[in-house]
Amino acid sequence: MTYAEWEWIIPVLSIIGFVVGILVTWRQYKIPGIGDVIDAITTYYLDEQKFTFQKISADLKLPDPVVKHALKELERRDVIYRTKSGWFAMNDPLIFLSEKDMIRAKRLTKGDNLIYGAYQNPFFSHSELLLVYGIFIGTIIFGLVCGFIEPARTWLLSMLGTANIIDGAIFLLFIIMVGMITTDALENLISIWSRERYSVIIGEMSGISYDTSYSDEYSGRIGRGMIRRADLQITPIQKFMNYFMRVPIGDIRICCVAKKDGGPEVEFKNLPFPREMFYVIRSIQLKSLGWRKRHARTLMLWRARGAIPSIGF
Amino acid sequence: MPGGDQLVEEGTEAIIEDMGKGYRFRPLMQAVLMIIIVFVISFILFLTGFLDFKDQGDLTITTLILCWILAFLFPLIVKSKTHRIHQISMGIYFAAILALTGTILLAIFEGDSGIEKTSIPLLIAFLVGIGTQLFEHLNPELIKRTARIYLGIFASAVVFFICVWLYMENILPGFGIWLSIVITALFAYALLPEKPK
Repeated sequence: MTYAEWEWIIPVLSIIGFVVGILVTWRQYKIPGIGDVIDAITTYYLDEQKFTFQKISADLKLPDPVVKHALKELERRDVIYRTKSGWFAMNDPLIFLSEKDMIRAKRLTKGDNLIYGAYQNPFFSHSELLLVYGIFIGTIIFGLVCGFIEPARTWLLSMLGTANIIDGAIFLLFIIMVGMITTDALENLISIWSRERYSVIIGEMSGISYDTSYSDEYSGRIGRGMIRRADLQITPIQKFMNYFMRVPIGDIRICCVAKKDGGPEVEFKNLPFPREMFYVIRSIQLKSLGWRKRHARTLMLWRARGAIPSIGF
Repeated sequence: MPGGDQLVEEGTEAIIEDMGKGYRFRPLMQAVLMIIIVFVISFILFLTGFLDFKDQGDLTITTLILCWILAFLFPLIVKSKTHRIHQISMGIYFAAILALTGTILLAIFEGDSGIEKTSIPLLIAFLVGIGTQLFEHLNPELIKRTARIYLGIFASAVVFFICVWLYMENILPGFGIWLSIVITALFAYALLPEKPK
């Protein structure tokens, strides 16, 4: 048997792989009673810190095993979590902070009801994008040029001096792989860089608190009454990147009372889900959490998995 | 407003889509973009002569290029994060993985594949390296700081290192190991979950 005789197996394997991929991600999602449990939590315990299984069970009058199973499923999906004392608490979906920073935020706002919390990404700039993705795009361009243009390919192999033992096309794959891995590693580095720094939190009573420098403790404060105007701004490049990025980002500009009265204009850069942050700011500005209540059900189902507005895709 | 069971049946990802749709392309536009990409890839393959399947390796290259480019671009462009879309993403991912695995096995067992034996370790490194990176991008919720994940990263890093080392020794005899260590460290670091949970 020769390679040519066996070659048909490659597309067949890819079709098998496609079917396998579909099957391994096949899950049954229907959990009885889960809708009622969500209704109960969003209706009665939205702004409560904690609730118990017994409370939910008493409100719903559903069989205990059904409620237990529904709560367990919500816990598995990170929609709710269990505290050390055994109570349940809602994972607020607009909190993108790490657990450590969440505790810090709670402490510094004296246990306020936090509605939004995230990290700014001050490093998300054109030059950074150019640096990180330039490496990857550069390797792809290099690969395409050396792959399709014969003189370039010959030059590459002569530079390597190993033309007889190295397959040029596969060496180019190696270059692209290194570019991709380097880009991914740099993304991770940038995520660490921005974590625990430049965080912004919005509390129901405390207003907006934010870090003004590295290792700050929310020394920046904008009280609810100081907010005069909040603007949502998404630049063309942010809008373009939002089509592809994992977490959409944007800027929020807040106009406070005049400087002589205590507040300048503050701009928060590259925050995740900026439109939702804008609604939250409007809510606390108007001293009404109506928007939050209206969308509580959707918000609650929104997986509360933390995410830095990294430049990752 | 659909009932809770119906919402959860679709998975919480459907809700993320609901919250994020103001930022994304509309589903129709996403579909059109994917069709354009498939058309462009096919056109390039046609121009370069791979689509006539006359030569040995044409079918392999066509399959690999289509599967891998779609595996990368589908999750990047299609942001409708419903369970069905995730299933398709994973389907294309597994198609790419199995197609490359098959190619490597054929290259190992059939001497006339046209692939240099020295390149086989790199193909395995590519399979492990890019396969795990892509898996992480497709399933970020699975990559948590647990012992099992650390073990998995360690195991894939060992395989990756051995393959890159074997390959690098052909290019830079004596120094290949040092470069392989650097590339493997980058690979393992890129896989580590760094987002706050």
